[in-house]
Amino acid sequence: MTAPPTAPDELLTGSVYGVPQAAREATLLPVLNALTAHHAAACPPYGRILDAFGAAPDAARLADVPWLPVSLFKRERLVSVPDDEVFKTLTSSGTTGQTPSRILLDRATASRQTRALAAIMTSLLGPKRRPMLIVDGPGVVRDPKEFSARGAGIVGMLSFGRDHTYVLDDAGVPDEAAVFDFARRHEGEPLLVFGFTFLVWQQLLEVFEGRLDLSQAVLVHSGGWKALLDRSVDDATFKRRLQEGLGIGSVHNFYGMVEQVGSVFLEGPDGLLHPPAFADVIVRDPDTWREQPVGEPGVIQVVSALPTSYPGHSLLTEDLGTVVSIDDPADGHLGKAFVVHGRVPRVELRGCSDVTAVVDR
Amino acid sequence: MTGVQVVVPDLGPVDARSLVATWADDAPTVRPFAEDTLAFAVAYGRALTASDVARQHPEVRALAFWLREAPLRELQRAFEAGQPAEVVPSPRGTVFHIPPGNVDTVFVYSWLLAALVGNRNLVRLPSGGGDVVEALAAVAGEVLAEARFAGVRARTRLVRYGHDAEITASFSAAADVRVLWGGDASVLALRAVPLPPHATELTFPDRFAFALLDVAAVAALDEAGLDRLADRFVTDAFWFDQVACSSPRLVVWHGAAEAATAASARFFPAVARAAERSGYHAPLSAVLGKFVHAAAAVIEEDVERVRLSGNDVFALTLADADRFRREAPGGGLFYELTVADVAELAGFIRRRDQTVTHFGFDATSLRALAEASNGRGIDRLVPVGQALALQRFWDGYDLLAGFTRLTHVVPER
Repeated sequence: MTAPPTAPDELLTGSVYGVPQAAREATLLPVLNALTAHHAAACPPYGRILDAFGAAPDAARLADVPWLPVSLFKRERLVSVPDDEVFKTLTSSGTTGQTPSRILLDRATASRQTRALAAIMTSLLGPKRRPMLIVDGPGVVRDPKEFSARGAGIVGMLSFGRDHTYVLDDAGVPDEAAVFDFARRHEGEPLLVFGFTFLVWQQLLEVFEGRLDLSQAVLVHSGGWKALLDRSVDDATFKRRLQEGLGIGSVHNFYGMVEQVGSVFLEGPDGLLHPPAFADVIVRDPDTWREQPVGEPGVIQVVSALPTSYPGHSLLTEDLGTVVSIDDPADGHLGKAFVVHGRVPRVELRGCSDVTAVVDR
Repeated sequence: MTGVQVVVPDLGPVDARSLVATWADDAPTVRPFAEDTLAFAVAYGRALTASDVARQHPEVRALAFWLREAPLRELQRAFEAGQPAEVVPSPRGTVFHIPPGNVDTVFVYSWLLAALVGNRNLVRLPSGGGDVVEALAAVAGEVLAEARFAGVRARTRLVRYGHDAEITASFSAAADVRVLWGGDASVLALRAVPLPPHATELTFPDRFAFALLDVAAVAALDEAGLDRLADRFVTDAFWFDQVACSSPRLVVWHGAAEAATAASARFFPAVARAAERSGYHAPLSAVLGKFVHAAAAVIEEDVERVRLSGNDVFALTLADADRFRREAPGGGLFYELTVADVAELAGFIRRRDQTVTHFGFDATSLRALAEASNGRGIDRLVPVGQALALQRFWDGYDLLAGFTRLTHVVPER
């Protein structure tokens, strides 16, 4: 087995958002090419997929790095380290009835993910741990061996806060006393609030609206908009109500997935998502699969230098998005700035059974 | 017990048991190919031709094309000519049809073939059928309202009801024939519902289909000929998003490996162009599903090559058939396999294999394949372009015979 590339670790020490696009691509390309070669050798099924699709292993441009469809991790166990080095398995929460993704981590990949997330969050929150309110119940992080995406997301964030306080009790009911105590204890201090977008709306905003002052807090949330859009709550409404109802002025969404933990795309002050230096996003034309120009929507591909224990460094997601600008220095984030529009709509094919149509003879 | 809506004729909500209680007495069966039934079929075809739904849906146009006097008279002639001299064919009585959920036009074929030989028909309209089913039923209702079709109207009940086992049981208990179309799981579940001791059952569960193309015949085609073949292939494959059971999901090349590779390299791009000409456009979610399926197939089924001709046509080359599972997601994903000799196929055939669409084979070699797969599978071998042509012979049944009872008449000598 080839030794995994070490370059990913070096990428974690530099500037997270100060790298212009050209420099980012120049740095990432050899790392991603090395990852492709590493996984092709260490994970034979991945190597066979590359061969079968005729993918060139040595990409000349970032957009040429071969990708896997992200849902393949729901069907296949893809791993690039010996089984005895697998240290943790992440599973996606997924929709009911769907098979979850299974992502196998060794210690090196897990540690890289932790450091990557730290680099991203430190740039937002500063180096000091803040008192942290978690919009979830404590049960979600209890089984550390096999985390759900939600649990993994929370565990990953715990180290950026202290005095961890859960908004919900074990029964999933808002624990008002605990929340008001937390706010009193830390009055005037900078706070961190973290949770999944829908829970923030339903269990924090709707429960405590007008009764709780979190004006010192930064809110970091993730998990997708589907449930809220069903209730006609968009990003602007979400932010306005959080400002009016809880005083939270600093609201940051992030886009990430269990298949690439650590390499998350955080919302900047401009309201757009930004890749960290060790990752990138490529939006593809859904007809030609070529990279879309700035401003054109398409299917999101995510690349990340982090995963060495499984071949997940380049994944075609099932999400639609648009790159809005590149190297726009307006808010100090260089590289691409993008938005996510949501999942590709599921269109049912007509369904099996015998058919008809008569061409008479 | 309630919840049955009689859509055609428009009787509104009724009780399931009372619907069938005296029906046999109130609406006697008629002789096979009775004039009023045949006239209704033709009038229905005309009304469909003139309908909006036919303009929008080629499968409805095909249905209307079948419902013309000439082909129906030919069906009658073939039916009558096929009866042994000592037999008098008659209808079986009440036929209870449960058509598939998502293939819109099936219920009409199932219903009319049974009606033409004189039966009463109770048809459960597919619940998720949508606009096409609605329109097909509405047009049938209008035509049946004509006074001259009072008899046919009395013998016809197109109904809707939710998932209600009691209603299905009631209707099954009144059936002389039950016809089940659908996925394996639903057919299996419905088969558990008892029928009267004398009743028979026709089942049309999940099936598989492939195209058998002769390499030399394809290689001999000029561009125009190749395009025509591709157009026919597209009709088979894409009218129902490649999820109809008789739509090909595998292409078997007959010939030498190298020549097959060359023929394939011409054929699939031609199919992609033909799909585009036909206006087919695989939905994006289906394309993403095909990427996942293709990558998984490399790992699980010994697919050695995946070629894309645009988004609509994915071709997956199998190294061999040993681990091939006969599963494809639809929306334009084709496995391919090369055999040097058609005889090699006999061992590959399974009971699931329903339709083989062929190009470049003579009758003798086709009959030889049918005989060689003796009892294992293959219900139809039809030219490329006719995969979806539901006719009297389907899934190994003679449908008209399935709806007919034979009275053996032996006179004194």
